[in-house]
Amino acid sequence: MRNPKILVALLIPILFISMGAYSYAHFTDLVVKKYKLHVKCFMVDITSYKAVSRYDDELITKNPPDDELAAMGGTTTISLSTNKAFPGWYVWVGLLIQNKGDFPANVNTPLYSISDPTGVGVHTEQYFYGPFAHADFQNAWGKVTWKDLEQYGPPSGNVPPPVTLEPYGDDYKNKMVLWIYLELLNGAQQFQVHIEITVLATSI
Amino acid sequence: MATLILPILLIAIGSTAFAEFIMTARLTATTTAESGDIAIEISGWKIESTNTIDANGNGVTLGDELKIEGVTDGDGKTIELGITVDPIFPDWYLNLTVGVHNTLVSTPVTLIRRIFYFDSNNNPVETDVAGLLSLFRIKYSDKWYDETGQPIPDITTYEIWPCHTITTLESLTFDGQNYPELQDQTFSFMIEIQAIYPQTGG
Repeated sequence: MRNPKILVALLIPILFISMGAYSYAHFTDLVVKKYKLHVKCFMVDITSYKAVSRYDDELITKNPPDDELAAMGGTTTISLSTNKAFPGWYVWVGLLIQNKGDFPANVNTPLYSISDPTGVGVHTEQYFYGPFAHADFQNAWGKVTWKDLEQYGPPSGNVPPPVTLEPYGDDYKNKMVLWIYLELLNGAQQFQVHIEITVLATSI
Repeated sequence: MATLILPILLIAIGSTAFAEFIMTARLTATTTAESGDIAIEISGWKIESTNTIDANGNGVTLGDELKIEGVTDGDGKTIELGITVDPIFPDWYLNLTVGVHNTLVSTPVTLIRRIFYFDSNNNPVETDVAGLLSLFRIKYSDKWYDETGQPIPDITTYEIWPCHTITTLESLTFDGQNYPELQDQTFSFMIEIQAIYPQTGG
């Protein structure tokens, strides 16, 4: 205790720090809301598709190819390509769509993405069929040819979108068919085009 | 002199540690409420609206796909709500009102809302509304109301007196339509409401 003044000068701030910290602890309080969320997005997939046209179908490249799509089990986006496109070129695209998820979903008008380096315009029409709870979609799917489509137009019995698909049952259930008429409006006399079609599903 | 200073230093360090402990141990506020202490609690909650679905088709959603459970401290105060939703899906939403009550034994307080998410090690990391959107595609907003139902424009300056309750309406929407990478992910975050003694000035 040779210098009591120094001792006091040390003690006072230390005491204030300890009192202040203790007081601070009592001058706050908390409540919290803890969220835990598990995401399950829709699993509405194209399980099969066809592209038919009076212009040689062999000139249309499908991606994914049929065997690859079968191995994948389904996809939400398919693409078509040809280097023989011209103004007025058209294709009918049929999509067999299935809900493979755990809860119902609405299928709406798809998204189109056209690569058009020459500024190609496009005209689309969509025709929705379903939902089909069993293997009763053949009239709108399996038996349809490009000649039918050209001569008679899309199959009868189409419904306005959206189509509500119940959750996955088995391979024959909870499907719908979407027929798309897609026509290129302009462009060069012959050009390459790449068309992507993406199926959209939303909550009910 | 050292024998005097050392215990005082230990007391100071202990007090600071205690303060930090109370600040960070969010779910274990072990202080006993006495006159002059701040003490708030969750006084109730209500689901205003949601489109949470009956995913398993058992006819029950609340308590099944959507669970809300209160957690109390040793004094019986509800200090936490655990909200679990499984599944959520694009365009899923929840509008939830929660009452925050300033207890009789407390002092006037103002509130601060902070947001944390839990990282892979379950440690809370502070974020904000924009962070919730970029991390989890959760659009979050909240509004505050006094006991008469009038909106409170700024909760950080609104004084809540003891024995009074304010209500927060928080809205969450999952904007995950174009984010398939979130499929089957589970994420957790926390909305913390901290009561402090009203700050003067400013």
